[in-house]
Amino acid sequence: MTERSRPPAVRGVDIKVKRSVKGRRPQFLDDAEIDRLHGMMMAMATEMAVLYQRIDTMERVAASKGVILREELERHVPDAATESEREVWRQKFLDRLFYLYREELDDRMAGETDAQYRAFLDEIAK
Amino acid sequence: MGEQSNFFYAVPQGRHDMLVKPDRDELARQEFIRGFKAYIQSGIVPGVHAAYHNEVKPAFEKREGRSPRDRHEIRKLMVEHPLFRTYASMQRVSQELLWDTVLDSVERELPAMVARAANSKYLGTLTLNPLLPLPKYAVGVDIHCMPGGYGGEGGLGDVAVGALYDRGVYLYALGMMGPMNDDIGGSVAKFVRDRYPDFKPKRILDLGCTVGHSTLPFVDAFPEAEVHAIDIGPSLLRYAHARAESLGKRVHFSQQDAAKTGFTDGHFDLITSSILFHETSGKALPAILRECYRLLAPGGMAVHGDLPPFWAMDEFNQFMLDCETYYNNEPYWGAMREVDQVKESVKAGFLAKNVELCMAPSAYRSSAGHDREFQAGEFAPGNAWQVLVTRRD
Repeated sequence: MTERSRPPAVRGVDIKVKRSVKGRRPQFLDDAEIDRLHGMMMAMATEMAVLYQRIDTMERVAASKGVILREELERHVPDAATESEREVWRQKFLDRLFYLYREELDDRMAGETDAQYRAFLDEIAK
Repeated sequence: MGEQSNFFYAVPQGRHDMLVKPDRDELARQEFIRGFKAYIQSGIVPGVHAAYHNEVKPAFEKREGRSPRDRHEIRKLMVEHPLFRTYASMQRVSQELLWDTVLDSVERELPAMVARAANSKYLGTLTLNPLLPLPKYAVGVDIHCMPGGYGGEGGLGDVAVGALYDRGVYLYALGMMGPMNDDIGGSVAKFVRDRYPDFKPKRILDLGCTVGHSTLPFVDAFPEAEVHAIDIGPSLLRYAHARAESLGKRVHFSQQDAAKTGFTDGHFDLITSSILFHETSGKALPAILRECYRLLAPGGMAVHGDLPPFWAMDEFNQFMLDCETYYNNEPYWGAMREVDQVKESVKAGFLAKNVELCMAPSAYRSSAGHDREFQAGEFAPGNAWQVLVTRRD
C-alpha cells in the first residue's frame, strides 16, 4: 500500500510525539538524586545559553541599527564569524561549569590527597 | 586542564524542504547541546583516559601483577571511578537533552511538515506495509535514547521520527558527517567507484536507510541505477521519501525487514548499509548477510560501512566505545563489534576469496581538509570508515 493513495485531508490529525525514552535509565552515581541533579543542572545550563544567545543577538542587532525592533531580531541571521565566537563562548562556559571536575583532576594529576592537605593544616597550626 | 584547544564550529546543516527550521531559542538550545557534546570530548574524556592510565591501571597492575585482560575487566574497575561516573552521566544527559531540544522544533513544525510531505513531488515511490512485524531488536528499547524509536508512529501521515532523526543525528555527529549527514554513504559510494571503475550496477538497495541520508550519495554516484531503500518505520520512511524528493533524488522507499525482504533472488547488483549492523542482533545480523547473498545478482556486491571493529583499537578504547551498549540503549553495540564479519559472510554463502574488510577514506573530511584520529566516545571515525565487501561471482 502506498501513502500516495491516501487522501491528503486525513493527514496530520492527532499526531503525538513521544518525549520519554523506552529502556530503563541506568544509575551512574551512588545517589540517584544526584543523577537527577545532573539532568536538572544541564537543563538549566541550556536555558542560560538560550538567554545568553538572545541578549547577544539583541546587542548585535542594536549596534548595527541603533534601535531594537522585534522584527529585526527575528530576521537576524548570524554569520559564520558570529557562530565561531559563540562556540568559543560555549566552550568557556562549559569549562566554568565543570570547574570542580577540573580542580579534582588537577589535584589527582599533581598527586594531592585529603591526607596530605590535613597534614598541611596540622603543620601550619603548630 | 583549563585551556581549550580543539573546540570548533561545525558547518551548518545543509537545508532542504523537510528539515526542521528551529526558531532562535530552539536553535540556541540545540547548538548549546552540540557544544556540550563537543566539550565532553575535549574537556572530560581526556580526564577519563588519564584516570585509567595514570591511576586505575597502575594500581591494578601493582595489585594483580598483570594488566587488565579485556574491556569487561576495565569496565569493572572504571565504573567505581568518580571521573568516569561523571563522564557517563553527562554523556547520557547530553543525549537526552539533544533529542528533547530537537523535539521542540519537530512538535511546532509537525503539521506543516506533514502537509509538505503529503504534497511533495514524486520522482520515486513510497510503499508502506502496516502488517510488517517490527523486529524486537529495533523496537524493544528506543535505540540511542531517541524517544519513540525507529518504529514509532504518532498517527497517519506522521513524519516526526524522520524529522527528529535528521536534525538529531547532525547534532550528535557534531557536524563531522558533513552538512547532509552523508559521509558514510558518500565515502562508501566513492570507495566502490574508485576500486571497481568498470562496475555499473543497474539496481541498488540500501538496507536500514532511516532518512535516506546515506542512500542519496548512491543516486549521485550511479545516476543510471534504480535505487531502492528499506527500513522498518512508517514515519521514518515518509520523511525519507519527502526528503529525497525535496532534494530532487529518485529513490524507491519501502517498509521491509532487511533479514527478509520481498525482492526476488538476484534482484540487485549493489547492496549497501551504513552503521546498520550494531542496531540489529546476534540472530538478525547473519540473517541479513544471508539475505544479501540471496538478493545479489552474479557479479554483484554488498558493501557495509561502519565504525572500526574492536580488534582495530586498544582495550581501553573498546571499553569507552562499549559505553554505548550500557548507557545509550544500543543493546548490540559491543557484541556486534566482536562478531567476525568475514566468517559470518562466508557462513552466509559468500566465497572466502570474495569477502574482505577494507577502509574507505572519509569523503567529507578529505574534501574539508580535516585530519583527525579516531577517538572513542564520539560518533565520528578517524579519517576512514570500515567497509565489509562481499561479492558474488
